[in-house]
Order: sequence, then C-alpha cells, then structure tokens
Amino acid sequence: MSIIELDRITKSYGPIEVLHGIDARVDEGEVFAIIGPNGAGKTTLFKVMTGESLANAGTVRFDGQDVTRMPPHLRIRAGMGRTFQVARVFNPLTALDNVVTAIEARKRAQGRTDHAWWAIRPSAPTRDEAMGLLEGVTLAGKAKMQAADLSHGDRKRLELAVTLAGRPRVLMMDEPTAGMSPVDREQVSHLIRRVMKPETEGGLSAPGQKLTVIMTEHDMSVIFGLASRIMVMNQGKRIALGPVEDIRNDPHVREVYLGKEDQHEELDA
Amino acid sequence: MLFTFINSLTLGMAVFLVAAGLTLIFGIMRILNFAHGAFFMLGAYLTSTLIGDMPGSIWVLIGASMLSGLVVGVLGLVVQHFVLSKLEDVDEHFMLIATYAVMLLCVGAIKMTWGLEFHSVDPPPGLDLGVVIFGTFVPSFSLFIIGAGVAVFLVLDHVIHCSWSGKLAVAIARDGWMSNLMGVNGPLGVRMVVGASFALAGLAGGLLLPNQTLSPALGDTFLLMAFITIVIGGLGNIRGAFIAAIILAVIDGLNILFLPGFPGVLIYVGMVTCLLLWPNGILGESRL
Amino acid sequence: MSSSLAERDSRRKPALTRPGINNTLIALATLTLLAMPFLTNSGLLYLVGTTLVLGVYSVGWNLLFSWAGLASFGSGGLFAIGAYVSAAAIRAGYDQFFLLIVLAGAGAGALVAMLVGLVALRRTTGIFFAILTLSLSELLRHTLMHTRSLGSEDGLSNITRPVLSLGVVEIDLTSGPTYYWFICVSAAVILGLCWWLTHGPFGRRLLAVRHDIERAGFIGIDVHRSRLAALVISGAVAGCAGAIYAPWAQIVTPELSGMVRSTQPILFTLLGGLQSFWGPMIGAFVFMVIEYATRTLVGIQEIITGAILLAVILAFRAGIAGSWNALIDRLTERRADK
Repeated sequence: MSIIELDRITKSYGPIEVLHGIDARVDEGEVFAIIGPNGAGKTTLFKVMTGESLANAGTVRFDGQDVTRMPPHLRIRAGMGRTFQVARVFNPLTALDNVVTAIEARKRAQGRTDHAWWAIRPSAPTRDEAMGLLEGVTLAGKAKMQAADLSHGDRKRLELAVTLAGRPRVLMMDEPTAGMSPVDREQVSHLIRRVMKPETEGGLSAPGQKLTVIMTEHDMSVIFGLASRIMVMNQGKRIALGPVEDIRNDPHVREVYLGKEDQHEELDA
Repeated sequence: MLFTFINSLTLGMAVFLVAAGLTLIFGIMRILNFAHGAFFMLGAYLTSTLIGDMPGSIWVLIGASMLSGLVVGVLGLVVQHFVLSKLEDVDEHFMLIATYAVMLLCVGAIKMTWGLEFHSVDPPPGLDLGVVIFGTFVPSFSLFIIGAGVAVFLVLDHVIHCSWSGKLAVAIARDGWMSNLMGVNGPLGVRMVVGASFALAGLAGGLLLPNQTLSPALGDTFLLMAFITIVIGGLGNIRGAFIAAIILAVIDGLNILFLPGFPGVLIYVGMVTCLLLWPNGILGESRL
Repeated sequence: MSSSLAERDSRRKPALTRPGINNTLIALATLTLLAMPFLTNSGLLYLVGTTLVLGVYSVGWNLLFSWAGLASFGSGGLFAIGAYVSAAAIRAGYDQFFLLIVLAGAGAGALVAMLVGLVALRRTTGIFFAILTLSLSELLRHTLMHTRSLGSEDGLSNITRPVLSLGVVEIDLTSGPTYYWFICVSAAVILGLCWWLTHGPFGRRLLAVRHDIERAGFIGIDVHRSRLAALVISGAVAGCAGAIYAPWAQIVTPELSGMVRSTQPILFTLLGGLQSFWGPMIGAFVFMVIEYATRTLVGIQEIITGAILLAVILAFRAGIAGSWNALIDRLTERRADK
C-alpha cells in the first residue's frame, strides 16, 4: 500500500514552471530515491512533499489524507520526518536535550505529555528513550555536549536521532551524504540500513514501526546500495520510475546521463 | 485647510531629509542606524554655532549646513572605521545596539559641548516672511524646506539610478562578493555611501535648524518619524521613502483636521497599518 | 539538563565549582538586597528598589529575546500599561486589593502582548518586529499624553502606597522599607516563575525555535504558538513590574512608554550577558551604579554608557555573566589540573 501519493504536481516560480505534473506513489517500507541532474526539480519536489513549498496544482496524499496545503509542523505530527543537506540541530541545547525536545514535542502533539506540569527535567521514559536513540547513533558518550561543539559527522548523526525521535513513518532525507568522504558515506548508508531494521534485530525502528525512506542523492553507489526503487527526473519531468535494475538499463535514463561520463560509468558499475 | 496641509507637507519633507540618509545606510549595510538622529542633531548644533542666532542670508544658512554635513560625514567615516566595519558578520541585533551606543556617545558629546539649554534660531532674511497662495498665508520657510526635500530627493534619485558611483553602490549592495570579484572596490564604495548617509544627516540638521527649538531631545523625535518613513517606504528604497514622507504628511494633516485632541497619533496608526498590510513596505525592500 | 550535570560535578569536587560559586553569590546578593533598608538612606533605597523592578522587567524582556529570539523595542508600552492600571486603580480607592491590582496589571500586559502577537508575529520578524513594537509603544505614549482622564502629559501623581488586606491580616506597605520588601518578595516570585519556565520543556522548545525556526517546525513544534506564548509571558512580566512600580514611584507619566524605557532592558541584557538568565539583573545594577556615580556630570553619563556598550559589543560579547563564567571555568579547571 502506498504511503505517499503524488498526483500531477505542478510548481512554478513566477513564470517558470519547474515541475510539470509529477505522478508518483511511494510504498510503505521501501527506500525510494529521487535522482536526476542538477536543476531537474528534485529538491523542489522534495519540498512540496515536506510542505516547505506548496504546489501550484496537483495533490500530495500522505497515508490517504490530502496534505497538499498542510504546514510542515502538522505533516511532521502526522508522521513525516526530515533531515537536511547540512545537518541542522539546535546549537544552544546539549545533544541529549536536542533529542529530548523532539520527543517532548511528539508527546505534546499526541496529547501524551508524561512529565508533571511543574517538572523542569524530562520524564524518565523520555530520558531513557532519548538516551536509547543517542546510543543507536553512537552518540551516547557525547550526550552532555553542546550541539554547537559537535563535529560535522556527529551533528549529522544527532540530526538523525532528533528526527527519529518524532517516530516518523516516512523519513525524508535530502542528500544525506552530500559533501562527505567515502568512509563517512559508507557509515551513513550503514546507519540508514539500521534505521530500517526493527530494534529487535539491532536496528533503530521502534517496535511496530514500518519506516519508509524517501531520499534525494547524488552518489550512485549510495543509491544502488540502499534504494528499492528509483525515480529519475529531468527538467521538471519524471522520466523513469522503477526498481534499481530497470533504471540501470533504461535507455532514456542513460541518454539523460550520457553527457556526464562519470555518472554514466556509475550506472554501468 | 491648505495651510494645514502645507504645514504637514513641511513636516513630511523635513522628515524625508532625515530619512534619506537613514535609508541610504540601510540599503548598503542592512543596519537601522539609531545614531542617525544624534548626528542630525549634531549637524543642527554645528550650524547654529557657525551662524549664530540669526543667519545673514539663505546662502549663509545653506553654506553652513553643507559645512556641517561635511564634518558629520567625516565623523561618520570614523564610526564606520572603528565600529560598523567590525560588526559586519554578527547578529543584526548587535549592530542595532552598537548604533544605539554611538548615539549615546554623540548625545553625550553634544550635552557636554553645548549644555542642556534650549537654543533657537530665526529663519534668514527672505525666508522669515510668507507669501499668499490661493488666499492662504504660507510661510516662505515652509516652501524652502519643501524645496530642499524635493531637491535632495531628485539629486539622490539621479545619483543612485543614473550615475556611475550610484550604480557602483547598488552593485555592492546587491552582492558584495560579486562586486569584489569584478574588481570593484567594495569597502571604498561602502565608505562612500556611509559617509554620504551621515553627511545627509548633518545637512538635514543644518537646513531644518531655523524655527526649531534646539535641545538634546530633538534627535529622538525626528529619528522615530524617519524610521517610520523608511519602513513604510520599504527599507533601503529612496523613492519609497519619498512617497512615504508624503503619505505621512497627508496623514498628519488629516490628524490635525479631524483629531485635533490627539496630535501625532494617526501617524503611528497609519504606520502600524502599513506595516501589517505591506510587511516589506509599499515599494518593497530594496538594496538601494 | 545542565543542572543535573552540575549536581554530579558538585558531588565529585564539592568546594569550588562554578554553580557552587554562583549560587553562593546569588544568596549573598539576595541577603544584601533584603538588608538594604538597614544599610542605606531612603534616597538610595528608592534607587535600589527601582532597579530591582526594572531588573525583573528586563528578565521578562530577555525571556523573549534570548529564549524566543524576538527583539521587542516596545516593552516600555507594556510596562506603562501595568503602571497606569495600578495607578488608576489605587487612585480610585481599591488599594486594599493591591495584589489583585498587580495581577490585573500583569493580565493587561499579557492581553495587549497577545493582541500584538496575534497580528504581528505572522507578518513580521526581525527589524520589522522591532520597528512595529517601537511604534506601537510610541502610539500609546502619544495617546496617554493627550488623554485628560489619565493626566495628559503630567501623568498620574500622588499614588499612595497601599495597605494590603488579606482577609484576616492587614499588611501596611505605606512606608518605604515595607514596600521595598514587598518589591523583593514579588521579584522573587516573578523571577522564580521565569526561571521555572525557561529551564523546563517550554524553555527547551523556545531555544529550539530561536536557534532554527524552520528546523523546530520539522520536529513538530508549533513555532508560532511558542513565540506567541513567550510574547504573552514577557508582556505579563512587564505589566506586573509596571503595576508594582507605580506606587513605589508614586507617579506615572507617559514617558514610561517612551523609547528610553523600551531600550533599557536591551542595554541591561547586553551588558549583563545574553543567553543568561541573571544577565539582565546584573546589568540593571551595574547601570545603576554607573548612573549614580555620574549623575552630576552632564553628558559624561551618556558617553560612559555608550563607551561601555561599545566595549561590550566589540570585545566582550558574552557580557558580564558570560565573561564571569568563562573566567571561573578557567580558574577551576586550573585547580582541577593541579
């Protein structure tokens, strides 16, 4: 069953139309990658899904519900999570408080605040959950550090923990490995794989949670290693959508990427 | 009625004279200069020292104002060198408070030099009387202020939109990095505009000197009105500021006619309404 | 969170830790303040009481600035509203219900702040919010200046200090020292509330919003509501401080809504230390000392204040509290290294 449905999404900035009627369905539990050359409209489409920009026409459905005009924080409450190209965490707070704040926001939105109204410190369950998430992203040892003092890679991990704290059903990742070394990329891929696995099998998903990942990405090796399906965009249009193997052999996709030798080779790889 | 509006238009143009420099410095450095009012006042005090209680002629007044403008402009360069240029990359609130501190310094210096007493200066001969237009008596000094406002606007507008140095300034304001890349001397351009902005404050102080009661609180009143003007007009937008000054004048005129018990109130109502209707000003924000 | 860390640290090295030193200092300052009526003459006591009220008012402003990231330049208007509510109610003879009057002042401040916030927060931010609030408080000042029933430009004077009636007991606040102690107690209550708000879940949420408003939305925080709440709380504190101030000064004038009053908390906060809860209070007292020491020197006062501000902005951006904490941290670390 599809968790996100895009129906003829059109978006223009002024007179320039950047998305020309995109259709797509993302199935629950898959890793769905959006690729395409620069300026293909990936990021715009991504933002239409998260609510950062609104489509001029067409509908976005999340779990059957029309969310086309819904502001981001309500989409988050409905079960979306989003990470940014350059990790964005809350510098004035400690790593632990970053995650705690996200858990508290989730509980508040669900009306299940569990700390006493007068309490300053987070409740024990919130704290435990936060520590658990930090352990999951191997940051437990730095829980008390200010987020501002963390390294680039740690911030990326912390952001993932903060996002997972919202217990998203769909995780939207914008270029999760942008600007990283090959080693770091491998680590992030590994982390995403763990995110998809339930806790009982050493993963990071809460019990009963079936996570879907939607990502935009430049690095083909990351995508081929993770994605179950790929959507290829070019000039604001969807030119291919299918399982990884089909995309690799799609002549139309090869044509789009033909100008770019390195990526052409990657497709062959 | 015409009399009321001429009076209000005089106020509007007076405010524009102050607002012009304010919007200029916002356009190039993105700062709201709290010190502008204080330097305006400094211009007024300097001019009053130069010409005494009674200027000999219009030209003495204009000449003395320009000289004060020059002095204040140089001071502006000092401020730019020691304060503003050091704060380019910090939070805008710090910049705001830094200019507030400069304002305190300037006001303190004025109080030390000229004391707390009120001074007043008469209009020069030729401007101390009035003319009759459509059966209404109009003080000629009002006409002088209106003329000065329009003249400053035309000169600025021409410089910004038509001349080489104006285009240079606009280029810096749009994109400092890009203009550096193209070999334009960014810091020099910034200095030019900042100096011009402060000089305008000093010039305005001198031109508006006659008929004002000169006291250390003078700057605040004008500063606030000038803030309002440039915000309504669209920050950094000189044409917007001019139009906003005229709108303010009309609102003030209406205020005097219909709400005589509450002078000055409608302007703020108008300002708040404008801000809420057009959060970026009526002509939109502009980097010069 | 930092408090639990502090507890663990203090168990390890019980004597000289930053929180230990700072708490001792706060306790000493509190005792000194309480003993003020025995230490000074009435003129100085008046100054200290006023500074305390202004300090509380500035802590409220800083809640909005350092926690929610909104710089209001019109908080003086809210202060004035509280002061006028209090003054008018006392002059109307309701002084035995003074506690209720103070609450009413807080309520009026909160209500006005909410109305402003509902309209303004969605439309304006940054400089525009600053200018909007500045002009709203000026609007209030001009309206007060021309409202005859509120004393026009002269304001309301001869405000008597009240005799509180709490059912069974009556508390006489008419003398200087007793009213001063009333200020101390109310300051403690308000500061306690602010401390509680800023250090709990609400404070964490606000810090998240201040640092990155878009990201905060993406963890499901309703950023608009959080900022509105901060604005309302800050308005309540300002109104409350104003209401307490009126009988202390015994006169209220439209100038309370002026730019000077509105910029005071900004200066206090900056000098005392941004991002610091006690910063505005420290700044208020340092400014008091500067102003008192330079009160006879025309012009020098502004120059010294301006120079200090510039020095803070150019060299010590963390303010007194931040620089102090850094210094103590360095000293204690050096001890620990030995």
